[in-house]
Amino acid sequence: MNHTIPALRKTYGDNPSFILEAPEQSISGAGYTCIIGENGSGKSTYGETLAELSSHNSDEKWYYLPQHLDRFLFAENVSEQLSALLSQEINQTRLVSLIEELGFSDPEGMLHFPFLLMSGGERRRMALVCVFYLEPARLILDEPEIGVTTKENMVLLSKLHNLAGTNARVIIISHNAEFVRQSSDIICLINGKIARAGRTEELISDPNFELEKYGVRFSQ
Amino acid sequence: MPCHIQVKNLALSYRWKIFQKTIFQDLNLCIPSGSFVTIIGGNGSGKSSLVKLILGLVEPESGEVLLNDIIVRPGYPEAIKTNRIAYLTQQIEDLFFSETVAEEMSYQRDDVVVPNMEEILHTLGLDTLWSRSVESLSGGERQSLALAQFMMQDAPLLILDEPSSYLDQTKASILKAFLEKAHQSGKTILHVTQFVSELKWGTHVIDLDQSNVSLATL
Repeated sequence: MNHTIPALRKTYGDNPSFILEAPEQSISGAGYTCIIGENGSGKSTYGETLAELSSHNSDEKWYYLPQHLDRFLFAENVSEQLSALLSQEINQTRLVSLIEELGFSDPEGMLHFPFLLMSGGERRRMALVCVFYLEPARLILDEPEIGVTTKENMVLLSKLHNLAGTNARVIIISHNAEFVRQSSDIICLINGKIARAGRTEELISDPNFELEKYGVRFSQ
Repeated sequence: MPCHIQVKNLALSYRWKIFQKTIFQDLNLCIPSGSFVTIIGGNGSGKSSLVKLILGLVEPESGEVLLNDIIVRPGYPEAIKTNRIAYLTQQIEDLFFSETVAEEMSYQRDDVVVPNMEEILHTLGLDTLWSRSVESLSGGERQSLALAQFMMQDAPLLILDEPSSYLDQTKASILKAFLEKAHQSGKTILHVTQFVSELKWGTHVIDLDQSNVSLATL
């Protein structure tokens, strides 16, 4: 089940003090991997760079759901979004089932309900519906818990476990302690460098390892 | 305590083409001066809409909102322009107009002296981001920048819409300490949040998931 994340490097012209420089990383692959770090440590850069690097190889491609959904939700509603992404008819029964799983009370009504009339949290959950419908073999979710209630985050966690259980490779960028605790592997970033990495159970049981140091929020 | 904010018989629906979404039907609230009110509720329950109605950014179908007994008129909020409300929006993606962090911070009002400006910038880690382009900031760094601008205002009413969603533990603690201090100094605070743990920061709660929405004391 072990797999590797390739070495990643990224610099920004206006920020010479920051360099993402992460060596190849071995992952147990038993579940999903969590990337943690304080604000500005390079978590999103890590995810974006991995997605960019893999974008030319369809077999190795990582699908990246960004924090800012304006970069992702381009259509008027979920049906149009998926039709455009897949260039084919969508399976409405399957889509309705996913919408219901993600906590919408009128799933059929949401098929054509405009993103424009949705709240921030509803749009995020609908973006996740799209991602789960697409079932990518490699998936990066950048802070998927933002704006979503605790109850719905528990549903999301369950979906992530299911997806990881189907041999999909899943990376979550998160500050949420529950997302971190339930992961199989953790990569900790400080200023663009991997400060610690390994199996979650081993890291958490290490008395010298402090999740707080990496910006994780315990009170949700 | 007199009502700092009064909501009377408020109704709101959003419409787009054939679609309609009803948010409030007959909402009545009195938010006392000096209270620290936490607004909670599920996705789509109307948390941000309530804030926008109070600010006048959204026009109700019927009913009215009064700020210190003066009716709020729809449009760009007069109360923000005259520094009677400080507002921190949830929409940090399109909040900034400047190229760099330094330029963005230079938009602070010339007539407002911020005695602890350097301290605010330092604690939020912005002093090291001075020359960075706003475009290149991470979500957490953008929210810190928005928070710094918010903390430098001195308004009697503070309205914050999910201000900590992108913040790490350290920055969330800074926000908490700031709000505690603001509350102690007598400001009225409206705080929208998804985090149940942040409920205990305040004195009152409005739960928009309840069938009869009201202000409850904690």
